[in-house]
Amino acid sequence: MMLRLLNILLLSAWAIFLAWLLTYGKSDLIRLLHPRLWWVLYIAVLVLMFFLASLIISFGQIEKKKSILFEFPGILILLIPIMYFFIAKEARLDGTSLQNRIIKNDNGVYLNNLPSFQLFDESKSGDMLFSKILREPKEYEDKVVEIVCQSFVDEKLPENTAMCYRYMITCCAADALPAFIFLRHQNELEIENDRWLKVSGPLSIIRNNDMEFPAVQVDSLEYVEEPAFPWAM
Amino acid sequence: MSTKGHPPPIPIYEKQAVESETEILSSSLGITVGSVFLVFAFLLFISGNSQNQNFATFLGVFSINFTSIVLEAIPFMLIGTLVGGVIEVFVPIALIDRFFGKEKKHGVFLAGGLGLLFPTCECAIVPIVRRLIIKGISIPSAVCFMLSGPIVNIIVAWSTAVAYTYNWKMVLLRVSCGYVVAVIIGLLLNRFSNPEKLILENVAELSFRGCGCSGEEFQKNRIWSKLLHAVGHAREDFLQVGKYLVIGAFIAAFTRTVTPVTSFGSLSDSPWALIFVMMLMAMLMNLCSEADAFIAASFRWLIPGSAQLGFLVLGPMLDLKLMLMYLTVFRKRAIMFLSVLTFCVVYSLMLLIEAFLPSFV
Repeated sequence: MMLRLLNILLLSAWAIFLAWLLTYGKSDLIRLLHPRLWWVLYIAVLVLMFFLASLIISFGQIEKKKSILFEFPGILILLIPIMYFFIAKEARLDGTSLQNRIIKNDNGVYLNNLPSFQLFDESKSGDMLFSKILREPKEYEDKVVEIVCQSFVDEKLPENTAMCYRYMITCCAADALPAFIFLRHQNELEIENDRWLKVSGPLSIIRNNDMEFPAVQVDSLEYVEEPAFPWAM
Repeated sequence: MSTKGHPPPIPIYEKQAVESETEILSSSLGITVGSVFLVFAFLLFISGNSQNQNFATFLGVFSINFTSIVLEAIPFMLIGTLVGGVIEVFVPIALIDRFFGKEKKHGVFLAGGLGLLFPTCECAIVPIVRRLIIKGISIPSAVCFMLSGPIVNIIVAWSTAVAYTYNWKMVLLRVSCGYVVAVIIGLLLNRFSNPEKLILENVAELSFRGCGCSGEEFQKNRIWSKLLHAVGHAREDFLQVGKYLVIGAFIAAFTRTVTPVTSFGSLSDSPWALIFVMMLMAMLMNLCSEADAFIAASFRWLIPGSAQLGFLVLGPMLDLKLMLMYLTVFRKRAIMFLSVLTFCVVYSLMLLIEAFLPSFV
């Protein structure tokens, strides 16, 4: 009986957690899971409700004796992800994770990760100029653009150059890969690292080792809040 | 069970009590491993209040990776357990015996392509295969479906096509290599005199159809009571497999957080070494088979196609998270054996591709 009660509590905790994420916790969920996969969470809540119903219906029945000592660690283990969510919701992928995830070629040149065409419907995900520039840089060459992205300042980069990046996710934050645009700026401008920026200026294309990298000549720069949809797609 | 005027009792699923010595030993080991994991996970969580900025950053990124992997995987596993429960209650044994029964040595050829009919990811496949084994599918066919299912399916083919900007050679090679590897391993297992020795004792005992839901009497019950029984099976599978998924995701997130992606690509220049390194990377990164193509494609300019393909073929068959989930079906030695065998078959195939199709990407 005790074990059955613990299982009911466990399944309820998961059902409530997922239902909360899908209602009040969307701003946290978007930082962990791609919105196109949210429908599976709805199904998960439904399945958990089925599990709960089957447990409650059979609650009064005599159950085979199972040692609570053997089963209890498994119940606690299943609660660990909910516990860690409270750290995850306050954390962000930043420049440290960028250095862990960025691909470099043999010459140490950073490589971009954005696919060359639109993967999913982006119209619902706000201003996606950042992604569009990366896909079709020539379309924006010599035009003034305004992008919102995270700054990355590194001494390995050429002088008066910084990177402005977003992560591209396919399924979840664990598979996020950085995509970036270079920022070229005047000598006197000092860009702070790991801050969200709104940058505007003319776009040019840097060519290196048969590869093209878009770069914005910074005319104006403003530090802004993290956008509701922080990813590139 | 059913008599006129007296409706049959609702059969609520109850897990069979197994008290063999092996089971008790295995449970004790499980408790020890589980308890050590719990202590470690709690200590790491508590240390989140540390003043050390580097550690706080690490823990933050680790937590993002961990919770996102679990949130992505757990719904698919829940769906997988439900499918498994439905298979257990509704799929007739005669159908299983006809195509994948223990006497059907060629069932592996069909099992290798089952993913085309039932697209499943690797998180869902383990509970489904567990139920299929309990239902009576032959072990070689079950292993074959388990290995090929997360690769030989439309969704994975589509995501690979998108990641590789519709390079159909890569898509075709990935799907066909997944099928070939799974069938080769299935055929090898067919040569075993008693492949049932690979699976856990409690799974083997359940596979003697001890639950009773395959019996004719049970099948006379009303649909909703059968559904309730199926949900009961699914619930038990979730509680059984879920903890391994969490431990696997924890290890995967740890590896993902501490390992720079670029370090893998710069380890060696020789294709045979790069294939090996990328396969190792696939095992450590534990990516979903729907997302892994995007990671592999980011290495396009750095490493040969065969190494990218090795990453794409091995990852959905064998990674840390899967190996832990396999513990709910197979014996530990069998997992080691299957892991080494899968690794070797994939590696050999990739060497052949490197030799005969060096520039397909």
